[in-house]
Amino acid sequence: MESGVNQFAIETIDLKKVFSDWWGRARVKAVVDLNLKVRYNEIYGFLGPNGSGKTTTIKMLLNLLHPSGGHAFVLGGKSTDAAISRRIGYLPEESYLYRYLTARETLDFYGRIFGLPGSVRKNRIDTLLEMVGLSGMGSRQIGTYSKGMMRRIGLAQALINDPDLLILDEPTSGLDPMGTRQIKDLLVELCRRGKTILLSSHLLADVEDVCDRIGILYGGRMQIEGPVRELLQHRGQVQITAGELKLQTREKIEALLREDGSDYQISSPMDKLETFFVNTVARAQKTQPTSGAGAGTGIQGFLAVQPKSPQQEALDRLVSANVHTEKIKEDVQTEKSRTRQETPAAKKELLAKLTQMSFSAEDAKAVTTEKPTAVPAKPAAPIRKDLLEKLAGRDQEPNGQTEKTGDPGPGGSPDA
Amino acid sequence: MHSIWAVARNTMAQAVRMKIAAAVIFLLLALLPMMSVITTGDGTLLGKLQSFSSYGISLVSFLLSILTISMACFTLSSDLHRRTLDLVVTKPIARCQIVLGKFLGVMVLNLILLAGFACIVYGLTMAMPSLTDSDPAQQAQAETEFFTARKSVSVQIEADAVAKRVEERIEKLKKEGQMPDQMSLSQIRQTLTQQEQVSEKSVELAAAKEWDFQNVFPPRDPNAVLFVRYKLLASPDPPNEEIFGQWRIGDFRQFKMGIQKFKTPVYAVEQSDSVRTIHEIKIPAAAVAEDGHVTVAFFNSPDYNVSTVIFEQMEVLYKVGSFGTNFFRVVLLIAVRLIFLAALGVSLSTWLSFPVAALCSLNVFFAGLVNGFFMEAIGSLGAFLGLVYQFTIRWMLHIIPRFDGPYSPTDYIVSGEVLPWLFLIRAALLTLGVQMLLLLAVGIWIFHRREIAKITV
Repeated sequence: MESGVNQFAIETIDLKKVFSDWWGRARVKAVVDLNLKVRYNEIYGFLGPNGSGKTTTIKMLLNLLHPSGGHAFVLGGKSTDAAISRRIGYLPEESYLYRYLTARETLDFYGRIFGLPGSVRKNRIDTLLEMVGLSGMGSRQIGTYSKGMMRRIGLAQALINDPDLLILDEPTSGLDPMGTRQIKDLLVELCRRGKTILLSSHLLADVEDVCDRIGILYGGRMQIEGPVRELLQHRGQVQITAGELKLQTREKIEALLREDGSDYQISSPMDKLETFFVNTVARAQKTQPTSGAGAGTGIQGFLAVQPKSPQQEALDRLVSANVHTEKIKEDVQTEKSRTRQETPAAKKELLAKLTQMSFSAEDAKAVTTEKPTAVPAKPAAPIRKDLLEKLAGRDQEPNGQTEKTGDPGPGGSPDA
Repeated sequence: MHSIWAVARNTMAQAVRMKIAAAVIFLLLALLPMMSVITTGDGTLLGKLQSFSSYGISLVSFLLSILTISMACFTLSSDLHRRTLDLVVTKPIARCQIVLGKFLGVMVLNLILLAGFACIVYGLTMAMPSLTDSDPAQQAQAETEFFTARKSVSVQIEADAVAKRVEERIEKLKKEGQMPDQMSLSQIRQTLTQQEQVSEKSVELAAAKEWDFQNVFPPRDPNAVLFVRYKLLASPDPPNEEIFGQWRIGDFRQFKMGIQKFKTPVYAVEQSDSVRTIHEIKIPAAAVAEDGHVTVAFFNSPDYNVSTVIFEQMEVLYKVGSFGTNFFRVVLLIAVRLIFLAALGVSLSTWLSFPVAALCSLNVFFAGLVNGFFMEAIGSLGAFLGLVYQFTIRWMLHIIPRFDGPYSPTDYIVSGEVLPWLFLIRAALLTLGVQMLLLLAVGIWIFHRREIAKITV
């Protein structure tokens, strides 16, 4: 679709933005000669501290601000072109929604702007509300929503047109950990379906989990850019993760290492707090299914409705609902296969890991019928089956561990 | 188009849900029925009808104008301020579609409200005769003078003749060497012109005056009626505040030509009228000649009066249409005003914040209400000052529409005078086709170029 000229979903060439005062004197150089390149079908993490120019760059991409110099191309053209903006979904840094509209009306409004016919609009709105976990609250005015709920509606409106390119400015800000996890899983799943995602955030854990490539912006300049795996991997260090070791075995290993003359450290691996939290809540829900539906805290409200429909199903419905975008999607997929070929082995591995973490395949169905969140339940590495059986005596819930097996970090029992 | 309509619907939802329209709606719902009960006018049914319709229409028109201005200025600037537009403009919608959608939303909502309240005023007015105890004479008077649509014909002051007389008097003064030293020539001319204009309208004691009306074509119907409407002042004030008039109305050319048998009758009316009030004489329309000529003569008899009579107003009227359609046209005239104000507010708020845009719009609105007065005032200014205003204020007054004089909706209903379609269409074309489109174009151009997410440092 890009007629071969442009191989990037987002490309900026020497993009500059200078904010000047009323007299035209330059006050702030927000973005300086930025050359950002986001390939098709990747999740690009756009990082940087507050005020580093992330949002300004995104606003220039979307023509909300006019560049002081350079060019910004989106999907091979300018975002002012209706044919291009039709394929973009955007979630701003705060959910700038009409407070007097209900969630359903909000989505209907944006659907109308895209010119979606009534039946398609209704279908999508139902699906999206379900997907972001707000299906029971569609007729409440947005002004009464909590920040996290607004964020969910914000994400839903970004997806109303089944976009090829998603530009998300801090999508998880204000969300509870469950919501954060849901959104991350959704992003990975969308990427798997051929979408391109530009994710701006300063919540590094989120970015690390989902992004293929990242770029770190500071003072309006790109400081470093590359695949997450490459940037984060410690070269010249090896990590071995094992189950519980007998003292004897451990001494043997230590002796071997000493012989080898290398520095070493031995400790028990830690769970990530997010994983721990998600597992705890999931477990609580399993034993107290009523608390979610009854309590009016909101959060539990979403959790209660969420499991009725797995995201995957929702996505299927969303994508198939629009014939027009189907064609574009195919194009993207071809693009995807090309870029995929270029990716280094490390990235392939990373991607494989990421998709495993997501809602994909049988794992999701097994879990989501009972649990609302995207906690992968089955062990990813069959080699460790024997170790797991040993662990079973101490920990009935293997979820935390499976999470770890896929991670570049160490695996092990959560409470060891 | 679907995008424009989506924005328009959103704008209406905003006005309704954020209760911007609520205050105006409740005020009108409370005031209109109450006014229909408490207004009395001069005690007659006609007076009651006139004062209720006058206040009712003015109130609806004024409050909806204010509502239109505040809605139009609020909707776009609040979207910019709350940054909800940041999201909207990234969708496949052109900037001009956003502006037009906002305009459409404000316009449609206000036109719906106008239609609703116009129906209420119309219903209350129509119900008034049956709800008020009044004698049949009053009912008949209301029927002929209020529930009607009459065309009015008046006599233009002959400006050329006045100017000629002024020049003659100046020549005479110069010849006699009596030109006042402290006044410039143009000031003298102005004073003399005013004097001549007054004398043109006045009737000395024991003198008579004739007004020749052309193009008077009442319906050819034996029951058709012709009205002579006038308002007189007297100098000095008569002791009982009344002037006794001896009137003759008909085709006077018949006297001059010495025709023995008159083709059309000449009517004689003698009655006493209070000063500074509008009166109407009602005679059969048969008085008008076939070519549409009729003369009204007034004799200021010294037997009864002691004052010079000055006619502030003199016109003849005859029925040409029904009250209902005339009322409809009057509502359309208000609609033209509201549509213009909607465009004005939206256009200004593309680059001004809410309070500034609202104040500017209100200024334009009030300037429009006194536009004609300003124009006249500037016209009568001295040479130098007039020139200054000519190049500053005057052209500004030309680009803002007029809401007063013939553009004021109430006068038509109160005097039962027809608002001609032609006039309405001309007003709509000028206000909406020229002034409004210009405003919208400027607004769209500014909005198209501005940075929506502008950050001021």
